[in-house]
Amino acid sequence: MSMTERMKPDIGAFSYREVDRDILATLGRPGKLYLALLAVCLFCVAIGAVSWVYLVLKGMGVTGLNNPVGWGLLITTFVFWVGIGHAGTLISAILYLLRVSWRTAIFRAAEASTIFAVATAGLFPLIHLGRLWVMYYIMPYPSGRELWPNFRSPLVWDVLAISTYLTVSAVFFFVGLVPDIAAVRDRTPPGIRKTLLKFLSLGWMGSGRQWKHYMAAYVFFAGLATPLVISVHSVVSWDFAMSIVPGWHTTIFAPYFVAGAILSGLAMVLTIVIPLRKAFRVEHIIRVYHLESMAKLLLFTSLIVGYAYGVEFFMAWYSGNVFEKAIFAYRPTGEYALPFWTMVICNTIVPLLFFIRKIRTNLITLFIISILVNIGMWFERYNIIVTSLSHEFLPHSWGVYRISLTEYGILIGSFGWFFLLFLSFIKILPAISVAEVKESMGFPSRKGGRT
Amino acid sequence: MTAPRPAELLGVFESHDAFLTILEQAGSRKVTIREIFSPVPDHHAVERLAGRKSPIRYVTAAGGIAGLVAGIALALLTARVWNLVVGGKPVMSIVPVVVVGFELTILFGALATLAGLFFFGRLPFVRFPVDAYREEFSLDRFGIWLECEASQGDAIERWLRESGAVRVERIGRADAAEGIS
Repeated sequence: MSMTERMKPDIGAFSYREVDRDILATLGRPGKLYLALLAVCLFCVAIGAVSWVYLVLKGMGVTGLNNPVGWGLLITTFVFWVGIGHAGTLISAILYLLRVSWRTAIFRAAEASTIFAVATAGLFPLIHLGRLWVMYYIMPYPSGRELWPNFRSPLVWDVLAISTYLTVSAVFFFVGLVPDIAAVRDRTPPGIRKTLLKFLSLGWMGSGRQWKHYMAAYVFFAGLATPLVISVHSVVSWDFAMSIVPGWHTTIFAPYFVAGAILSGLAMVLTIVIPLRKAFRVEHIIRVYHLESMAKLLLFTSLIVGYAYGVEFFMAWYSGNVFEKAIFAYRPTGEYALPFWTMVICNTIVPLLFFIRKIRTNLITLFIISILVNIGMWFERYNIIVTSLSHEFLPHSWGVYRISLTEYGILIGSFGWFFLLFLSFIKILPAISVAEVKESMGFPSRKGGRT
Repeated sequence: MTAPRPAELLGVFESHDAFLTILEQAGSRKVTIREIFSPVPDHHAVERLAGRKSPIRYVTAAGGIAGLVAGIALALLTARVWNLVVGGKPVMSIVPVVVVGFELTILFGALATLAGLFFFGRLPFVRFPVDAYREEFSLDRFGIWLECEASQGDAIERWLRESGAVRVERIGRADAAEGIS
């Protein structure tokens, strides 16, 4: 296939049967590379599990947390994974409502990334609790002690926001999968797998009644998920912005966090989809056009994030507040200068390369830049959380945070866990929506073309 | 004397326009469409067959309103139970009420939509597969399941074939799945 051909948005001359065959072929017997990657993920998960058990047995003292830095790598990584979980619902819900055609080929992978990222993120507040067996204290239930969560605390909003986001995203994801599970079911020979798929497909037949209510429900799911995308990271940002810590207490945090979340989510989807399409030989379905469209959106959100970085510094200077000025002078020059400059370069300077068409349509540069943005976004969270706590109001209470080996182990484990879930998913259910790709191709007509 | 059993036919179509033509002409042919099958979301067919909008929207709205009320009540009533001023914020603050109310609106609205989809779409459909269902309907074929008077069976079969059906089958009445018409 020529480059010009791959740049077209339309899948072209393929038939429904060929699309079905090519997408369902991704569920075939796994190759050696897949198994090797799975083994690497399992190894990383084992490192994370051992580190977590060690933390539980020994207590929070094995982390680098200290006074004043009470939130470190664990909360940084929590915010990072919640952010990664934003692109999926953006692509599947917002772009669906806006009738953006390029979402079709990639939204399933993006949704899966959302679910697994939020599921990974959800572990971190529990790990950070130390005594995770008391985690149910945060849930609103009528206990004999008559103690309820304090809903005036943004941390409790966060629990509600993340659990709502995970539930709604999972429902949206599953409903979208049902017609495709039915397609897999119908192509699977009789056996345990087929029985399981029959159960999961809910008896889907693609009947008029089913499609009618499905299409209506899908619009409502998208409509409900859209404000949720905006609200979740806004609520996460309020974990910080509602406090009086210099560097956190600012009204720009909500839009700044949402833009950053979409930036990191898009970068992660690119990181996943570029090797996926190659490994599964679905380049004719996930085309360069789709990746380029994502790169453009990534560039746009990067510009918003860059603007937010600039505004933070401007407001620190313009407000005349000595504490704000001090923290923003400290970030690029103090102990955490390396994370700060990594953040700035990876999130605002490197994505500018996407202004050049050759770079945003070259898969290698796209892949490298997506990884750099992922790195930059992790450091953004680290920079916001750790530097502010390190350098609060009074010099005698300043302190420096160093990440411990146990925390590094948990960080590695979280990446292993995320990719383990994703790798498992792509071999169990289609990572590309069969029904929606067919829909985007148009209907077959008697004359041989499409209507 | 009992009336003769009506004939049931399944027309399988490769092209969508032929499939739509049958849906349009079905009324004039005195046939009842029991069900249609499509591998893709098909707005055209659903609109022609069942003009009324899905009532799911009412269920979604009811769920959302219930969530809003539940969220506001949860934030306010729990604050009343634990009547302590924390961090200088009033016990009955507006912001928590808005946040908790919003989150539960979305949560309940989505769960109600799911319940509505299950109820109106009759999911999970435990009698799967119905006699007229063919696995190719999830691949690349469109299907129309028709019912007509027994005496008209041959004429309707001919009409389906002439209109572009790649296959026409006679279906028994073993199952009782209802159509949307």
